[in-house]
Order: sequence, then structure tokens, then C-alpha cells
Amino acid sequence: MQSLTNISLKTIVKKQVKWKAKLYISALSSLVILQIIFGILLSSSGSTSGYGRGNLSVQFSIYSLDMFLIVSAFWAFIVAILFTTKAYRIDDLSVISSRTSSAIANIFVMIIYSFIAVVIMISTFYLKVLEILLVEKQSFIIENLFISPSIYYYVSVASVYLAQSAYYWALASRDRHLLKYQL
Amino acid sequence: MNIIQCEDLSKSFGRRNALQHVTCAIDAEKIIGIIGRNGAGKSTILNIIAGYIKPTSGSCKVFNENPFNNIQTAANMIFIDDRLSFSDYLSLEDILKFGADFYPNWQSELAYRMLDYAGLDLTAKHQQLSKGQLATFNLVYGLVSRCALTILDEPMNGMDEAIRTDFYRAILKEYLAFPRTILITSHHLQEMESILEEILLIDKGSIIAHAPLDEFKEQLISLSGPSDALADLLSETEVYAQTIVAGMTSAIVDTSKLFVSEDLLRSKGITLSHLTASEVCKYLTSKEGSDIDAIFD
Repeated sequence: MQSLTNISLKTIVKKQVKWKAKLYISALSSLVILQIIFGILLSSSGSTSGYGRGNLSVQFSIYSLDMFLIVSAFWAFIVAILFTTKAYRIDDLSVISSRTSSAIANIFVMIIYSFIAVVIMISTFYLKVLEILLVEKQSFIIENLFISPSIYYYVSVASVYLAQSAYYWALASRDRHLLKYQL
Repeated sequence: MNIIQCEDLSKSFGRRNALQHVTCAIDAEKIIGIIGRNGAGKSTILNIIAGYIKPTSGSCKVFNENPFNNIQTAANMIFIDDRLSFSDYLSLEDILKFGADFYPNWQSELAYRMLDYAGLDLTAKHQQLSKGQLATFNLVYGLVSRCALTILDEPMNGMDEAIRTDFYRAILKEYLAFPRTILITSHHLQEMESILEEILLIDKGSIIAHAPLDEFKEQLISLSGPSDALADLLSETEVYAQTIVAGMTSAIVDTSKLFVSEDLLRSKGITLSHLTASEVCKYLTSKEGSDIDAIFD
């Protein structure tokens, strides 16, 4: 009788995260496309207002990342739905996995993807800044992002992750009742 | 040592019973064929053993543990069927690399050699492969992972004849190189017979036979001879099938209920002939009075 292999849950989760992060990469490319589409659609959407007094006239446009954040959060929600579909669950069975390890690995992958998604999101903002500087040749006052990037970053990551987990946990709790009918 | 122990196992999907009170024990390091008609419950029992679904009642122990949602049994078990799927973003080579990462006993070198033999392009994507190529790749994946329990659910589906013969040999060679428990289901029992040690016959959700191959084949026997000489004999035993052509009867009967010597039979002009394993399966699982011709009459 050959000896059986003993593998801890931690090792398997680590390997699964590595595997899934590569497997699900298409989710990120869809985000890039989504951001580009919204970037083009919203390219002139700085809210503009102007004041004038005497000879002096001030006009300012406010550009913000909020719309992109909403798009990312929406994307995250959809991706979380995708990750828990049957096709993805069956993919997990091709390697060593249990339901627990898959669920934990999914959570980690979603956290990683949330971080990457926010990086993608912020880089769209830099593109926007570049566009304003070079194309429109405007000068501007930079507020949030450059003053406290870290806080903004974490708030964004948190909100994107929240959107993902909103669906994921709802599904996970539903699954507990449906376990016997799965697959 | 028993590697799989099922006790009073039942599984129902809604109102339909897929398995009913199955009790079986499977020894380690054997190649076991799981045979049954379509919808007999073969895949259900394999899915329970693999820990993918939970039995409705009863218990199933694999390596002395409950396989459902269990990482220890998952690490020692691989389940190969046609649902095995990988992302479109991974080439075959990537999949092999990940396999090596996951499975501790992985044989990379062997995998490359086998895929090369089967003429599979390593840069191809899993989804791009043809049905037969897919089955070949999946089988190679299952064999090189060298898990203590290897479950092959119709591994040869879609393969052409030549590659099927080759891969039965491959299974046997791999088994000899690294003895493990292999469960195979297939509809081609004839081809598979040479590598099997035991047969587990499932019909309508319950196990109706579990025996070493030779013993299994001897369960039924075919008798043929003059009708009047056979009539007495047949009334005493269980008859599985019977045809009468021009005063000559040939019948398939249960060996264990036949208490006559061969000499006596010969003196009555009755000849005995042995059946192949697949014929035995056919008769054991055939429905009472089932006849396809009757549908068209």
C-alpha cells in the first residue's frame, strides 16, 4: 500500500489562488474594455461651471473618478456572479480542490482582482489627466488623488470588493441549503 | 485494506432514485470495472466516491474518511470524465505545468511522451481539441497524476480504435509502474476485459454483482440441445434467456442453480458453452421479456 499524500488546506488554497488568478484573467481584460468604452463615452463629462465679475471670468471643470468607480463596482458584481457559476465550479474539479478550498480561493482571487481593478481604474484617471494637459492644454487644480492617494485607493478597493462580496456571500449562504443538489 | 467502503448508500435526485441501498467495499490496488446500462447509477456512485455530491442516506468512506468536501481525499483522488474542463486561456502545456504544481506524484516526462505519441499539439487549447483528442488528453492527465484512487468515467469515449487499444495498454503499464486503485466505467467491456481484475455490476441503482472477472463469467452458462431433453432441466433453474429453433433449445441459465454433471448433460445431447463477460452483463441486466423486435410488431 503506497502512502497517501497529505496536503494542508493552506497549501491547496495557495495553489488554487495561483491557478485561478491565471484562469480568470479574462475578467480583467473585460474591465479594461469597459473602462475604455466609458472613458470615450464620458470624455467630455467634466461638470463645468463658470463665474464672472467685471473683467474677470472664472470657469472650472471638475473631473472625477466616481463614474469609473461605479463602473468597476458594477463589473465586480458581475464577475462575482460569474465566478460562482457552474462552469467555473466544474473547472475547480480538474485540480485538487474541495468546496471549502474553492470558496476561500475565490475570496482571495476577488481581493487580488479588486486591487488590480482599482489600479486599472486609477490609470484611466491618469490617462484623463494626460488628455486634459496635452489635448485641451488646460491647467488644473488637483484635489483628492494626489493629496491622499492611499486613502482614496483603499476606499476604492474596499468598495469594489464590497460589490463583489455582496453577491458572493449572498450566493454562498444560498448554496449551503442547496449543497445536495449541486453539480 | 479497503480503500472504499459504502454502506447502505442511497441517492435520490428529487423523486428519482439513482442509487438504492448500495453496500460495497473495494480493495486497494486493483483495476475494477464498473459496468451497467445507461442510467444505472454508475456515474452517481462515482460522483459520491469522488466527493462531488452528498449521498441522501448511508455512508461512504474513502481512505477511511468522508469524501464530501474533504481536501485529504481530494488530494489522493482524481476523477476523469468528459466534463473535465480547463480555461480557454491555458494551453495543454500550461495545464500540465499546473498539474505538476498540484499533484505531488506528477510525471511530467511521461505526460509529454504520451501526448507526443498521441500526436497532440502542446500549444493547442483544451477546448480546441476534437472529442477523441480531448478524451486522450484527459486520460493522460488522469494517469500521470498518479493518485492512489484514479476514477475513469468512460475514458475512451470518442477515441478511435487504435488509440483505444494503445491506451488500455498504457493504463495497464502505468498501473504496474505505480500500483493504485483504478475504477473504470465503460460500455466496451469486451475491450476492457483484459485489464480488469474485478467487475462491479450496477443495475437500476443497486449492485447486482461484485466478483473477480473469472468468477463473474462463470455465473451464467449457455446450454443448447434438444428441447425435450432440456425442458426438465430448465424448469429447475433460473432461465435468463431462451430461444427455440426447430426443436433445439438454447438457454442461458444460472450456474449456481444447476446441479447436474457435465457427463449427464452430454449423454442427453446437451452442449455447454461459456459466455463472455459482456454477455453475462447483458443477460444479468436485461429487463424481463425485453425484446426490441416487439416494438416494431
